[in-house]
Amino acid sequence: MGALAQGNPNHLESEKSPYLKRASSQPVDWYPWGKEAFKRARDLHRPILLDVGAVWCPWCSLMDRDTYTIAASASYINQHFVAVKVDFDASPKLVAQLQRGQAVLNFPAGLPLTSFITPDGKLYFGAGYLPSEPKGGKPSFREAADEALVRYANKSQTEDDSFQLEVEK
Amino acid sequence: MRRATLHFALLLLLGGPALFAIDNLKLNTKLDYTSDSADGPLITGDDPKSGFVPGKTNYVIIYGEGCFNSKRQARRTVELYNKYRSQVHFVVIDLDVQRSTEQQKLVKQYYKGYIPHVLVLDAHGEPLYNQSGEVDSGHVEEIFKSSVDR
Repeated sequence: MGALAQGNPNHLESEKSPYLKRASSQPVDWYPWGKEAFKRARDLHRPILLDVGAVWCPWCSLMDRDTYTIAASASYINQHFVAVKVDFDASPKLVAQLQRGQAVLNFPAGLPLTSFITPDGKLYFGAGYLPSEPKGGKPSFREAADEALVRYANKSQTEDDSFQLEVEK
Repeated sequence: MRRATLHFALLLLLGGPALFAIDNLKLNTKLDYTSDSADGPLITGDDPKSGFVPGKTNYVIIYGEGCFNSKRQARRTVELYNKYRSQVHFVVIDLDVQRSTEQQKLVKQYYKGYIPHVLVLDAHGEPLYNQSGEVDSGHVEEIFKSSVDR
């Protein structure tokens, strides 16, 4: 396991939901769901890494502990993605849309939800809980994220097999 | 004789997912009914990838493994299965694992993003019940009875 990192406050500092508040000191440069995150993704031509979780979800806590608080993982995420975190309990309509998207594309649709989204709001790849190392047939977080980058680079894959989300522009 | 065997094998291959029903349904004995803990698949059975089977009433549960309400509905599902297995075809769709093509047809058509989701489909695939959330077994049984008697 890599070194734990104490990050600078990210964009979740002023969020009220407990799940987002808890992540506000993580080294991942998390944004809340909204225009600002999508604008950044468009400006940087990067996909969005979206994490949906809840304070009561043990696998979400494990991903926080093993991936999102680790300096090397955070640095990789900050370099390649725009990271967005969503509290399952605070945004039921949004979460239903995301879970339906993952289900329709035949990706896991439980919690945590790990989604990869284009800057124009197309959910094109996803997973559930991802361990820090491959385990029991599950890919590691890094393997899944690398796959998401490959698919993003291959534009046809994000066009053909995707689910359009309602995104405020 | 050989031709007939080949014919049958071909029929099985082509119609595979639709011909076999999930059977021998059992509840995961490790389920914790006091929390949203993830305890693995809620329901196990033979051929868990089966989808809608025409010609019979179908009961479908779409669930997530780490969901308290799904666990409670899974318990009702297995009770209903034990009572109606000879008349009703049961479909179990776990959203935390890869689904079969047959199951994805149901997910795309009916799943709106809330779990558990329960469907009762008549022999032609028309929905008799199609709602998210838990549902009382008595209500489902009434639908089964009116559907089977048709």
